[in-house]
Amino acid sequence: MSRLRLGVDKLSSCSGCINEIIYALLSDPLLSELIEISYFPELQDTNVSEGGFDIFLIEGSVVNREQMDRVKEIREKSKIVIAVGTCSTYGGVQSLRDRIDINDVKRNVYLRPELIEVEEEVYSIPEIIKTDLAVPGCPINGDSFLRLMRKLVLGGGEVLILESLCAECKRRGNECVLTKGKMLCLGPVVPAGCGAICPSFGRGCIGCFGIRGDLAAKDAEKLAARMEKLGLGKREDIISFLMRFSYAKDKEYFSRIVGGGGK
Amino acid sequence: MSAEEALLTRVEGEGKARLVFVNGRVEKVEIHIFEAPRFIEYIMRGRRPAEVPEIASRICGICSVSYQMAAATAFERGMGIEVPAEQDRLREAIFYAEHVKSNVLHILYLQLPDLLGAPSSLEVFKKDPSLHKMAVDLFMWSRKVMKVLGGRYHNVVNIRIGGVYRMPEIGEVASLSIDAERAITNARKLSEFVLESVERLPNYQQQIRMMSLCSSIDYPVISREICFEERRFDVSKFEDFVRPEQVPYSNSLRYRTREGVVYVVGPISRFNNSFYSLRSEVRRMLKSFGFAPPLRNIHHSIIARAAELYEFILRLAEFIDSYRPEQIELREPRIDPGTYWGAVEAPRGILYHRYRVGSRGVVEEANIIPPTSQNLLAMENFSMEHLYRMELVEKRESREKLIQEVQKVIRQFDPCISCSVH
Repeated sequence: MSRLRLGVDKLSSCSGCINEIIYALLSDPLLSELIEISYFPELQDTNVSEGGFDIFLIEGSVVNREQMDRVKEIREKSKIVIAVGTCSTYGGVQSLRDRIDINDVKRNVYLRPELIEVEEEVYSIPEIIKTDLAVPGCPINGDSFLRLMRKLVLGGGEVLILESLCAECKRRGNECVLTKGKMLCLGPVVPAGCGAICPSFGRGCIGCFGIRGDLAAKDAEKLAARMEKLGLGKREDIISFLMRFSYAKDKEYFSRIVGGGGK
Repeated sequence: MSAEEALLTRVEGEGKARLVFVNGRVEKVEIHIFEAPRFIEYIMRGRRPAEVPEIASRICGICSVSYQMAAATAFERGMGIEVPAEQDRLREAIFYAEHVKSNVLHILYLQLPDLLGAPSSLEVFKKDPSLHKMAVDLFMWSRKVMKVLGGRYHNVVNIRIGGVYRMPEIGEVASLSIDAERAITNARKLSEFVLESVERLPNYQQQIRMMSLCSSIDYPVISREICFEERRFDVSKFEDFVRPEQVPYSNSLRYRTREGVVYVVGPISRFNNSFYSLRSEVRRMLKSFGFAPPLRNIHHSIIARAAELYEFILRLAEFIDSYRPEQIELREPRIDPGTYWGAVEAPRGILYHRYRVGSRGVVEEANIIPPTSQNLLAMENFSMEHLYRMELVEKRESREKLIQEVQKVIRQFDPCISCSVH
């Protein structure tokens, strides 16, 4: 059996997911046997992109033309494209500068803002190309990512997770930080997958896996209303908290509610 | 004029090296940081200080603890918030684990081929599976430590202004001690392996202007004091001491001192400035290989990394053995309007944060200066110096070879490119 050709590239991100990918690829002999890493500049010197890829993993969000073109080229060359991490799935934290005058944003950081080429908007990968799978997480959970890769190389199909983080808390036997601890927790609207790390550390879920795929961003409003009723914060603050990692899910909606990403 | 360029590989993030030739001579080495900026400082505006450490941690997946600690300690010290002793020790331990992770990652996956003149880490591991086993073992242990103490390996969830969110059960921490002895042995062996291999590296003396945090009592990881040669100054004076500049080919700002001096931050500077604060067994190990400060060769940064790897594993093991959880009171700290400064030694060097909080109690301005931005000028200068010291240009080496050599110098700095374009 010929080995599957794998490509890994990163766009705008912190590389946290890249490291989880390295962990997943290197900790499983089966993957090393069945996968040939053709393109992965963070890990190796010789990188070949001719001949295409069976699986291509993209970390990070798209913020300029060069990245946009690169993503399209990857799509053309690859059978399966997977958006890895919250940046590539939802735009990530950096998308919070979206819909704000880009010159204002640039001037805040750079001495010569005119030299910096970025788009007005930050895009998730599914906004640019069709992706076959999206694995959220800031960062992704390396162990579940490893299981997904095993499934892919062995010929399994896609997995759709419709379960909330709450289910993981129940399985771990965590006391509910929301009802018992009276803490703001995004668990009810966030997909399971991290292992309920934050509630296990005595704090509410911060939503780094983004809002569940089967929920609309406006469902967040129901959660926010409920949380406000429970006295856990002001509705606007809760929405702002919710969009920290989920902004690109529905930019129109979120920016209408809180007036732009930067607040 | 002509140029040769290549993508930087085996570094974190996206950059390329460019060599400019005039009449067959290398005139200039440029490091193009083309990774797009994320404007995290802008995103922090309008947010409560309590949110800041979490957002700052998204600047880097490899050194997120450094970002969280720099932000948290800035507000704590500015407001006189005392972090209870055991929580403080727990946070430091998470910080040590991050240094271990970063060092293992750099030595084994990014730098090893340069150290041994091998085509890739995988080739080295094929020839020496025991080395690989040792490394993976250490890597996995540091992963477990981070998970138990901080929640996960990247972007830990257990650091807040004022302390931590939860103190792990004593049993959870004790479970880490089972493999701690092996981790110490592996760290020592790996460090010794590095020290043995150093003789393969280019051996020349150069002038390195070193800057690091300092502490009169300990090897510096968090401190308010900065050392630059004979000078010492408070972290709040850092922006008076250095100045940013921007070049058209890089999305990362770069820094030199206001007097124009190009300086180096990172393990080699820490090592030279604070060698005598290392554990005695670490110093003994170094001396047995004939190494002592000052190191005057940028390629010898790896000696400092090896020393720190062993040092921080020892510190972690001590923490695990003496851990005592305490009660936590979770309260959002009061942060008054004002300016707050903080700095830590991230694995790659001084990481500086400044926040101005306005009358509404939210951040109005943030400035973050990561280590890689400070090292960029030195990376270019030392790359150039290396080509001529090794007489590679005179020997009419191929352009491909020249650029490979430049990459080796750049990797010594372990640049964190994503951080530099935060």
